[in-house]
Amino acid sequence: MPQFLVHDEPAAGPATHVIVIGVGAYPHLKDGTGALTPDHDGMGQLSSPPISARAFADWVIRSFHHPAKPLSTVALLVSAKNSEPFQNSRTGRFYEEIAPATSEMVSEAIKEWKDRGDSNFGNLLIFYFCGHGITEGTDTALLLADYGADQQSSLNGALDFRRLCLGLKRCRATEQCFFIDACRASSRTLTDAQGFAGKVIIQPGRRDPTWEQPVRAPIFYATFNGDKAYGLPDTPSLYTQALMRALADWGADDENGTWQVTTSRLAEALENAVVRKAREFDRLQLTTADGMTKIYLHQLPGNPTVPIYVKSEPPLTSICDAALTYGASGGALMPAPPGGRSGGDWEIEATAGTYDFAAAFPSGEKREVRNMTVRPPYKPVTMR
Amino acid sequence: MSTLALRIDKNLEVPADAGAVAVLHRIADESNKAIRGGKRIETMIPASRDSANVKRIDVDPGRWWVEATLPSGEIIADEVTVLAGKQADMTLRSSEPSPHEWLGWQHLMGNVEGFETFNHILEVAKRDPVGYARDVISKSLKGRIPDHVRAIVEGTLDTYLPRDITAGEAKPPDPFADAGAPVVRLCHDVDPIGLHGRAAWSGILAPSTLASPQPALKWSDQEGFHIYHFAAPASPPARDFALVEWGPERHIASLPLPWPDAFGGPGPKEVELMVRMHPLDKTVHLGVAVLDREFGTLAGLMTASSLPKARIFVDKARDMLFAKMENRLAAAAGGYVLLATGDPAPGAEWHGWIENLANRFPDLSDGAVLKATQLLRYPKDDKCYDDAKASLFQAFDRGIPYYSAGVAWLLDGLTLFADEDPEANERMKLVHKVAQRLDVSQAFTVIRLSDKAEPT
Repeated sequence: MPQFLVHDEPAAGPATHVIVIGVGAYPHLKDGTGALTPDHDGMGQLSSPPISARAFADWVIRSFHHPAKPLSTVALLVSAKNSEPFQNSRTGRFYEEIAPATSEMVSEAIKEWKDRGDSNFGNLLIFYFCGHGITEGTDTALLLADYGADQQSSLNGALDFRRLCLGLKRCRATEQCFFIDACRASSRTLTDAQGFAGKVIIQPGRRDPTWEQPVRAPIFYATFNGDKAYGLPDTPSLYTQALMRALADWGADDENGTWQVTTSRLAEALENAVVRKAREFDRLQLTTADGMTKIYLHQLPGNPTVPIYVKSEPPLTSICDAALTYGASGGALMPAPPGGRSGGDWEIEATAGTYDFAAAFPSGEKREVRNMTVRPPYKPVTMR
Repeated sequence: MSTLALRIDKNLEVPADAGAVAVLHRIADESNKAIRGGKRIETMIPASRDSANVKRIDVDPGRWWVEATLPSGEIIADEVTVLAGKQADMTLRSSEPSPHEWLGWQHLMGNVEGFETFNHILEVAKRDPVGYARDVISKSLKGRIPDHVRAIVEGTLDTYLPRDITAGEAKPPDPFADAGAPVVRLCHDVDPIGLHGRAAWSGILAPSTLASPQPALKWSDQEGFHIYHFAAPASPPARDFALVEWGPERHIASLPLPWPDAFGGPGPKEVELMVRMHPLDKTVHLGVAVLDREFGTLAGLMTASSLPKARIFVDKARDMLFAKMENRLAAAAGGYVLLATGDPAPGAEWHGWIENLANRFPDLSDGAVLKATQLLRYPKDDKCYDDAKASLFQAFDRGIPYYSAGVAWLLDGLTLFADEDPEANERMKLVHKVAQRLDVSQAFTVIRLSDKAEPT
């Protein structure tokens, strides 16, 4: 059996344990290599999830920093058209064989991950999934690589996500965070299954009442119930790109004097970033969350960068037609990057601080905005 | 002392005292010296067109960063300089106004997107599909490949996608042209058998349609919106549900009636139901809002990512919510927020409030769900689990929760005991049938009765 861990650094006290699952190759969905399941619901192969999963695992290993709960383990399972090794950016070690994201492998990996979580009540568990998902009301099935292999019961190759979260209440770790980068399209398969939404890996039940309470477990979804999540071929999905940026910068706050990312701030940053990115492609993708409670996730090494959206109000013409310059307050102004023009506004990214903005419009009119504080999650600037 | 006067400028038929939750922090002192990690002030800001309707807060002079979260989840951030001994006024506005003034509450609650986004979606729905495909391909390539390569690719599109497919032909049909109107009936159920236990959980999926259709208060046929107001004189144990039908689509919404006036005003508050038709994908979306200036926005805040901000609302309003519990439904909303956002320390004061809510209102399913969930999240011993199970059974017997979180949490609770207790398993299966049809994006319980339309 291939090993799941691509990062393993023993920790004496509370630590962070991450599991990353990316499923792009579905042999029993459209254009797959196996027999097509009758429960395909129009779903096919995906190129983005394996890339997204690897990118997220790489970000965690490279950049995750939690002084009280240092990164201890990262488990990675990927099913892609072509298998590729994974290099741990901290140790440099190559992992030639990455475990496939089949239901058998994912079950084993999750049980091991839960066991690691049991080692200390202060542990932080992070779960990331990217692939197909189907939803009916409160039920969500995360489709694994062998979805449809059992033609009589396709959902044997899926993960019952609601019951997984309930089962993990029996894990001692009191902080658990879930990122689900998947469509949540409605499916008759779930309705017809009458309550079966995939494998139950950890049976829900009574948490030991002598353990620490409560378990706080926010869930971040890439999209609303019944909606689609979007990805561009051969690149990380819109959501995973936004998630990594939100973890790295946009979800930070300096409430305690240092820039830290918390789950509540992360949700706000993600919501904005994904909506904007999807809108570029005339798509509406609204992220959402469940059980949104505040957990401290990550500490930044320095000041965050912040997206700034500069727009103009009539009678001025669109800011995108103007010559826009900006710079730290009192300093020299530089031209805004031309690639930042996006629909009705101009997006700039800058380190948190105080800035001046100036715009010269084709009509000859000029506008300035000075001493604008720029902080996460984003800053709108309006030229009037 | 200096003062900051804050307001949200928004067109609302009924103003909202808690139009947004705001977090204020001082980013620079009077001499403009930056301050990091200073104490933050949390408050509620009113939303209305009335410029005199402001929230005044005494603050130290300096530069203040104000971040307001609307019930829709939108964040409006701005800064203001407050001079010593002076009042600084700050008016915040949503990035986009509501598509219509009469959709103001639905927009505030996040059930309708803003004017520009809405019109953009409408325009996309009506646009030439070939031009649209061309745009998407072009935008997908932008920035990912060199411009000269993109120009070549776009050039080849001319071979396969004609520049103007509709030249000389009729425009694509208006999707709303033959959409018709929904039929909305008010089911005012006073039958105690139909409201409780197994009959309630089975009956909700096959409600009676004997009630007469209700007239819409406002509507826009060109955009698929219909607005209904309800102020049924219900008193427990009656329940009011709105049954919505449009083509093969059927939905039922639990109406939070009666919703009393917290200040003993002239009668209960109205509940607004928005029915929005989407002819292209043949679906209907419902939005339920309570037109209550004190607590109406809490339902919006308690969904999705703005939940931590709802916690601020509940903490600020806890005396009004829990002292006399004059509005049991608002108190239940507060209970959901307190439990969902949680406190690491067990035994907080609010644990007693939830117990009271469950005990004082024996017909309120939500109260029993909250009590059970509290026991499950903060168990002291094994007996807590037995008590939680009893409370879950009680919640089931009391009927359909007013809030969608109540349905979801009841299902989760029963699931914990399903393997060890056949009665829990049987109840779980009944609740599960309803939960699978639940619109979890809505604070109030909305259930889809029809099967989903097959994609065309």
